[in-house]
Amino acid sequence: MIGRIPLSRKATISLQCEAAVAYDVLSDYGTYVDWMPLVQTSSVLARETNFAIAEIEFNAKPAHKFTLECIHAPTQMVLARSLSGHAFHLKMEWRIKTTAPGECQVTLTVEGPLFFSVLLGGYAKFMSPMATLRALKSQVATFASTLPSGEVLLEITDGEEGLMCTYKGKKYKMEPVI
Amino acid sequence: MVKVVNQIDSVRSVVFGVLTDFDKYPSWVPGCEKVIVTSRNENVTNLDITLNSMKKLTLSLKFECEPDVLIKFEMTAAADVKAYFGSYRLMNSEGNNGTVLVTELELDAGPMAPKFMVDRILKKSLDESGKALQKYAKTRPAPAPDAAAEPEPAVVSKKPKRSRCLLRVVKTDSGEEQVWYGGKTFAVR
Repeated sequence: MIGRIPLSRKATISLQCEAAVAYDVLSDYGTYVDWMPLVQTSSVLARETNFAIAEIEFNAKPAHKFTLECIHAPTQMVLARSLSGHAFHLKMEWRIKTTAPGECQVTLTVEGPLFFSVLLGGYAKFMSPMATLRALKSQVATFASTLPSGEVLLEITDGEEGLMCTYKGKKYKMEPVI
Repeated sequence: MVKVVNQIDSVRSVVFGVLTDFDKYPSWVPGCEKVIVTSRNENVTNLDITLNSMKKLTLSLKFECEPDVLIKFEMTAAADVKAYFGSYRLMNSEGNNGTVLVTELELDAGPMAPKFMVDRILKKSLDESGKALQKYAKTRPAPAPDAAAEPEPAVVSKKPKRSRCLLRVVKTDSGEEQVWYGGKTFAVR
């Protein structure tokens, strides 16, 4: 029964980006796999205006997918939690606050069963909100306007057109080889 | 409250049609023995249902339907159950024409049945019902083209992807080369 005791942890980080950028990253549940520590797969099953159903799989327990119900309030709050009535309770709540133009503060509260952090080392990082916030900081930095200026020798971007590479003034579309 | 998500490989209108065709429940809902519809108007249906899983139960239920989106149900009378209510929420599946069905169900069977045990049985029962629905919905005809063309509410158009930079190498005005990666700038020496 000890594994069912909920554990809650909270941390805050300041980001050099608009709240909308942080919100876009956090409400894009399908791309959690790109940046969130120890996440092996993530996908969105269905999405409506302020509600989505997503699936997430952790490295610590491959092949076990957590189904999450996600609620998002534009640029302020993103909440993802496991479905009620299931054995493992898991919750991530992100609060986003604009602190200055081009800057925001994100507070993450994670809740999970006690053994996530104590007994199974693979989940320990998930239960450390600061590690997740640092990963978020790296991710949002790729959207921010703090890039060095000057003559661009080489640049790789990811957008609507897919992965693009600019080299010696010419733009190339990048395709996976395998 | 137990909540379960099922992915059904049929369009939303078909799934909604199956879930609101109450007379047919005994042919696909596991443990459903009998359904008698007692009254029906546009979006509200009252019925008596006999379920036989952990125990035989006869419930009078009221269903309220919002076409293709939501079905709410609640108990209006029952002998052995204190509370029974829930909902089916239908969402378009991402990336295909299927449906994601979110089922919520609360059952209060009284002090003799511990809640954790009831919830475990309910979850298993809802998982089985989801599989049965998936199978049964496939036997139903696809909607007529004009019905399929009706606008479906609460569907979100995909947001344009925000462009991001993964790597940048620049030559600054002072002639120094800099590499930007992961939010950090490194000078090339």
